[in-house]
Amino acid sequence: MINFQYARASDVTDAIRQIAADPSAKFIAGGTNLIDLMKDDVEHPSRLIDISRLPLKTIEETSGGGVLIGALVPNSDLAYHPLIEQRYPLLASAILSGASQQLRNMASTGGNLLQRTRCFYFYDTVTPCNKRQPGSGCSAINGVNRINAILGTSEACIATHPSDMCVALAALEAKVHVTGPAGSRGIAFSDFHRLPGDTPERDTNLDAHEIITGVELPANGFSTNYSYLKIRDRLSYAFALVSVAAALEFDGDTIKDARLALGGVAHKPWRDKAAEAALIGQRADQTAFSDAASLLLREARGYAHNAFKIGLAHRAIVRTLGQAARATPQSQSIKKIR
Amino acid sequence: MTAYIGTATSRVEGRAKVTGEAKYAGEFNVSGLAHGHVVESTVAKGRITRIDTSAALRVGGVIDVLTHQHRPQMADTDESYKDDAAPETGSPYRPLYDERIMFSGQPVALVLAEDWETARFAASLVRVEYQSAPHVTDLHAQREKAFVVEKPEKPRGSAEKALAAAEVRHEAEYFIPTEHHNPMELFASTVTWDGGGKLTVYDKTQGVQNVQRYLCGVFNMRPEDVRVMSPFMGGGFGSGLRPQYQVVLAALAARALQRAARVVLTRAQMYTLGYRPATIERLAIGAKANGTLNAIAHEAIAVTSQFEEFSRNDTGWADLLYKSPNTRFVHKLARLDVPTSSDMRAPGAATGVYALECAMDELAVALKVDPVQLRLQCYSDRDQTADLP
Repeated sequence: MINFQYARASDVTDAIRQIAADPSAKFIAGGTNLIDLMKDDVEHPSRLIDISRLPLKTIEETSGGGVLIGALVPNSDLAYHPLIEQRYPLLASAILSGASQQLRNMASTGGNLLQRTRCFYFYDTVTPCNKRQPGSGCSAINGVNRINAILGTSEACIATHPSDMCVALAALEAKVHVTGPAGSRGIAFSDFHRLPGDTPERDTNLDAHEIITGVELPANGFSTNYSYLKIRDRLSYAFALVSVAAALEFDGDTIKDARLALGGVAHKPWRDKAAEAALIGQRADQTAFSDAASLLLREARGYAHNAFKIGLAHRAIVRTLGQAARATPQSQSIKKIR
Repeated sequence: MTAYIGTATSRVEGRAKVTGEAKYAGEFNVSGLAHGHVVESTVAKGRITRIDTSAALRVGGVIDVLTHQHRPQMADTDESYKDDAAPETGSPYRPLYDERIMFSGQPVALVLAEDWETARFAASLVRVEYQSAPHVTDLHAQREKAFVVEKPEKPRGSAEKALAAAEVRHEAEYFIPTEHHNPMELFASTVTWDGGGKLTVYDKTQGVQNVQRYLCGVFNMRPEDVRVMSPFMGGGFGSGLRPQYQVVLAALAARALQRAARVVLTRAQMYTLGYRPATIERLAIGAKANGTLNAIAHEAIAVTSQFEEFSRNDTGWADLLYKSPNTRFVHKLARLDVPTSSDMRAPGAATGVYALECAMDELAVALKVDPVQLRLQCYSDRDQTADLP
């Protein structure tokens, strides 16, 4: 780990001023990812600007019937907040499937959006990695790529986004509130994270001197028919090989609205409007679910060690949609999959 | 004796361990202690062409950087590096000895500083250039080049003929990947410089006499000048049977600086020590339709390094477990560009019996009998090679 300066930000304006003044500075909130990356010599910021004391820790109802989550709300506070448990249980479930209680206590909402990939080569500083060192090459494409992406990959990068929370936020169509030197703006969740293309070093569309201030949930939380199913190598404290957030609304026996987002398969939480549209107007049966899964995975591409993810994702989508339709969401404490 | 059964008994060292009073090898403090951090090779095979330590040496608090070009003298014969638990055949690895790289993660420099954090930071500034050579680290890629090692179990009858004539035959291959040691306690050594060239060594080891004899060999020292202590161990499981390279590096540092020195490996560096070898196990079992076994053939191909031949007994277990008039056992080793494999909990048996029992289960399926019934029927009361109970 390199030596670095440490400073506290007094308010959001001060935080933006400080980050603009030092191009190699980084914000730190919970530090659950950044500190690891610094210890492993992947990140070497000259200065850490501590934003953990900024007043962004509230969860409030909005005038539009939604909820605004402050960027510094810890993941565990968010998951156990009554508004979230009752109206956005898909989000609560996704959060509780991730990391450990200790990490969730430290990790912030904004930081969760900005966590970096867990691709082995990103962390292994003696190997080429276009995300870590642009232009150096991708070691994963021809390397050990069991955990890597099957959708939206590029020749430059096949890393995945590691978050569970973001998969639910994508399904719920959250909006990310950011503030920068030019003022504040909102970014639709699907536009927040990027596909790797030929600039895999950029994970998000957050501009260099912008800070996330909050995440807004729309009024509809799909709180009746939802499920978050996470498939991983061990049942706890592991990243998803494939995860699925599913949410349905019914008109009698017919699907009126559908949301489907996948984690562990791409450089961003993966949503496919065509697959969702294909479910609308259908009855909730295996055929409809399987057709939607095939549609979502139509361009999936496996590499030497991760082709199994395509079949796994197909079955996980069918299973999660079934759980949502039956209103028997996957339990994150009793982990038996039904 | 009966009084103890069912009665909770505290371990004699239990209180010391839970209160932190128990001192482990990396926890003995003396004044003037130098802290070492290992710089590892980033290639698996080749040779070092250049080491630039200048940036590391400029860091405040750095005392020295030891390399194969800059270190106290070490012995130059294989015999001097052969510890009590070393494989019979081979040329033991010599830490920081010369420019040759034989495995990824091999120590190539030791940064010594006044505190561990400084040593770790300075280690990231050491620049090493290599001329790398093609390497092989995949057992499957090397299996055709595996060679047979002699084991005590001899063939009985003719397994080939019996298999060919078997009414029911089950053949299968099982793969056990490499299993690395990761006990709670990291490998660590603290070496104090006691004056007159004498050393006291606090080492994480399962054999203090082994370490003492080994260090005497490596540094050409007299036994009365090397005292090795290992009062507590945070998990051995076989990983501490052979002296590991950090004890050589810590002793090297103490001799170079003529002051106390400590080397603690990182968790990642624990993967550069001995490990349970990846093994391919091939089983062929022939049986009569009534479940009586006629033949068992068991072949194992296990990993060793390019420089030593480590093997345990994977294949002979069928002789002890199941009655069969015809048997054949073959144990092979494949050389990879990795550290030498080593003992880990039930070496040989854990891998060999796993494969044998999988094959018996699958044979039971082929015979359409209960797998427990099959074992009761085939169970042997005697070691069939040694003819002992």
